Amino acid sequence: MGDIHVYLENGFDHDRVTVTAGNEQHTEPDVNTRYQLGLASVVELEVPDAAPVVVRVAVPKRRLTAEAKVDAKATPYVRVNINGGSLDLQPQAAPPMFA
Amino acid sequence: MSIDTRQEAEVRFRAERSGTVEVSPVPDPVADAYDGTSSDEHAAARLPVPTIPFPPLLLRRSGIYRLDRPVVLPPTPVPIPVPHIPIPPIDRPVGPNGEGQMETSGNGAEAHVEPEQDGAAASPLIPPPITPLFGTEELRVDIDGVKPTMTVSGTITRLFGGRLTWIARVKKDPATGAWTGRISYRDGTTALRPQATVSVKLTGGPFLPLNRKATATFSGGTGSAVTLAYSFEKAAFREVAFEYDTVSDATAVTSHNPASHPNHAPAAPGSTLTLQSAYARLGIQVTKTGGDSVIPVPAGTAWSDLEMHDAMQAHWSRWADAPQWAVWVLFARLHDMGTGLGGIMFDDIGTAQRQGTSIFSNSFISQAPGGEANPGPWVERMKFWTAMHEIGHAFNLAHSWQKSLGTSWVPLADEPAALSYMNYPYNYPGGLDAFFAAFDYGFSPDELLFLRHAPERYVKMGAEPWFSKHGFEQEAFEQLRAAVTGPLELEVRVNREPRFEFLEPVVAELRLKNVSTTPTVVDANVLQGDGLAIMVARDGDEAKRWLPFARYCTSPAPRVLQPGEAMYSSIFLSAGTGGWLVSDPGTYTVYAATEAEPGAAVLSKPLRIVVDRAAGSDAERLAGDMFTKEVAHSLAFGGSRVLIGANETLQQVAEQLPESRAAVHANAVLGAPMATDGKVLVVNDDGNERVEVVAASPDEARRLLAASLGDFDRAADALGHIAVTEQTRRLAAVMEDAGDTSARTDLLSTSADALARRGVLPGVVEALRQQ
Repeated sequence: MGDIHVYLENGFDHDRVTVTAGNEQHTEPDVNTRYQLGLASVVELEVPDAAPVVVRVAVPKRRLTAEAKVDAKATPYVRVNINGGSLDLQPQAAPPMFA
Repeated sequence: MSIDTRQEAEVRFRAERSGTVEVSPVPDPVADAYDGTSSDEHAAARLPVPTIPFPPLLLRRSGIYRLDRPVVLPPTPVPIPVPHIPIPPIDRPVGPNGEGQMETSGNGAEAHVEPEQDGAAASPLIPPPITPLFGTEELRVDIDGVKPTMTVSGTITRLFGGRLTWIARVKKDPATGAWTGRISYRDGTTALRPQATVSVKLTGGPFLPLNRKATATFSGGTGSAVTLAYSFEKAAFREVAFEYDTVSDATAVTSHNPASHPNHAPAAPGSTLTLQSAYARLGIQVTKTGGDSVIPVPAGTAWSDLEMHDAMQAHWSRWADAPQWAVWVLFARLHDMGTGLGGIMFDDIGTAQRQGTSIFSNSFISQAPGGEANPGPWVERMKFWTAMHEIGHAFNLAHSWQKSLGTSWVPLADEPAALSYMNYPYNYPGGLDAFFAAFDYGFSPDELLFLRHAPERYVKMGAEPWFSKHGFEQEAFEQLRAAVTGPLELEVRVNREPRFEFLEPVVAELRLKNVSTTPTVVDANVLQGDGLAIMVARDGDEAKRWLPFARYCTSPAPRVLQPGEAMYSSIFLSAGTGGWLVSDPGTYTVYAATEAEPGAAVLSKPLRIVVDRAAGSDAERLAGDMFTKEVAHSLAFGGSRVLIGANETLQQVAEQLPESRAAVHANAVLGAPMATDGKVLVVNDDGNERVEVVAASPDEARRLLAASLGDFDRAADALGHIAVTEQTRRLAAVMEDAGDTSARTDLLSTSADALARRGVLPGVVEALRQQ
């Protein structure tokens, strides 16, 4: 099994967010960006690492959804941002850094 | 980019530096315009020939200038009011020829009372209040030094009358040498400076900063042109205190030499910066507070935001849930979030935000990338950058790439390529190496404009919440007090708990004291004449000026106040020609100022008083009759022989509320006129005026004054020490006239003892005792 780390970053304003990866789903009831970090919260999901899984993020109240194929071994870090009214997912190999 | 997790490089670097990187005095950079670091931190630069900014320090004119005359008490005389008081008939024995019969009389007091004319328009009794200029004004000139923004700004602070911050981007007029620009930003009461353009001439110096002057001419727009003179005050635009605490399993980095890593910008400082000097060179004077404490924790402790907030309250010597120019910096090992968080301004909860920051020494900032040839300086540089970055958030600076978000103080554009502490080096186009190859250890022009010139509440820690506009009257008062500090101290006070019963008249005492070490000359009437200004503001209402019923025009009477000596006066604060200022239940603030010598005002600290709600329906019923001009007159002048309506009201107060402090006042002002013969002005039927003498009623006077003074402490609380002493003398005189020596002696002795116990000056006590 592998871990996928979903970073809910900028653009969230007390939103209810659902993150799904494979068969695992996690709901964050109140996601709010802290702008001194550019980060709201981090969701950890356990997934089988045999094959890439589809990571899906939804913000129902704002009717935003987006998904990306993520290889838990190669790019386990997924950065999620709301930009210009759309939801953007970016998998990457290294963990993002905040300060 | 990926970050190597190996730490051997850092360990080797530490060993080379003979131990752990700790908070310690470090060699000092070239002293800069705003450098306020202590002498302990000054040492020779470790690398040769630091760059000296142009122009040299002593020739710089940037900084804060302050208006030469911060407090202006209104010079225009207050129009003498024409009272419009109904004049009731006085019953007199009618002589055999009908003499003595009259219909009207004067009030017997100092003012002449005009009889009411049928059909005549009522003239205004209350002149428009004239608000004194309790205010200060600073001019911020930012035209040379390190990274000047070519800006002149100002803040006008009026204790009553609002506040305004204005900003103008300026250019030098080659013909006049003046720095001129249009005022493009205003925040606050725009009427305080309605002009459109400012033109500033800088003179004086160069080698003596205190000789530097600024003359600013404001013109255009809707206001008349005005020219103001300012004197140089200081080079720094802001003054802040930093305090560092380190957790026992963490290391702190508070200094860095940009040149210690070969990849640095040519414009980067060539010698060691401390966090203090890095801000100081950009116009923010920093002092350190506290003792750099170590907070003991078990090794490997990770911190949550809540735990850091608790630690801030426990360990920060400056902790206060209030705005202040102070920041707490915690050097910890790791956040709960893990190595991905290098630092945080964690204080975005509660009312006073942005006061606490934390840097995590075991996060990614301590992990030099694989292949980095200079891991030690690389790590030190990242840790230093992180600390400056988090402190920048405490100043309410947003990330460079997020300037357009939140509620910015002015429209801002995102600056993803900014060479600023507020940008992430690893997000910079070209990456971290490209960033530091160009970074000169500063902030962007917009950020400097904000730090140096934005309204203070947007910048000050604990004031505006985080990310909003990336606590007034108290600030205004503190600024004003700082501007008028001198050899004299003025106090407005009550010698008791400042809580008053409903209907109770408020009598306050003014004390003007020489707090210097040299004798000071003041006018003997400074606490009574036009040079005195008192403002009263009920919470939630506008401030009003207290205007006394009587104005005294006196010739100059210089008096020397020796060091520590004071002079006193008593004021009936509740009412004046502007009406009743203290009446309804609530909380009031009182300020007093006096111009002891021309151009040198002195301002008191605010006096806060509370008026309680009515204890019962009797007091409520009497309120309508109590809070009238006539009663105010009677109380202000210590009684009246002709204001019958007022006297009837005061009698009702004394009878229906005998235990109240209002009754103390009522009995005193009813009894005082009866203690001696007094003159009243009467008008005959034929319109001629004559003076009549109303005979004393000593028995009644004694009864009333004794009722007033019966509970002496209650009387002293109500009347104040000055008035209660006067009333005691008056009653003693009545007793003496009656031949009751024993009662007189007892009265004077008991009263003197009580005044002594209450801390009244020994000289006053003895004078009463020996009367």
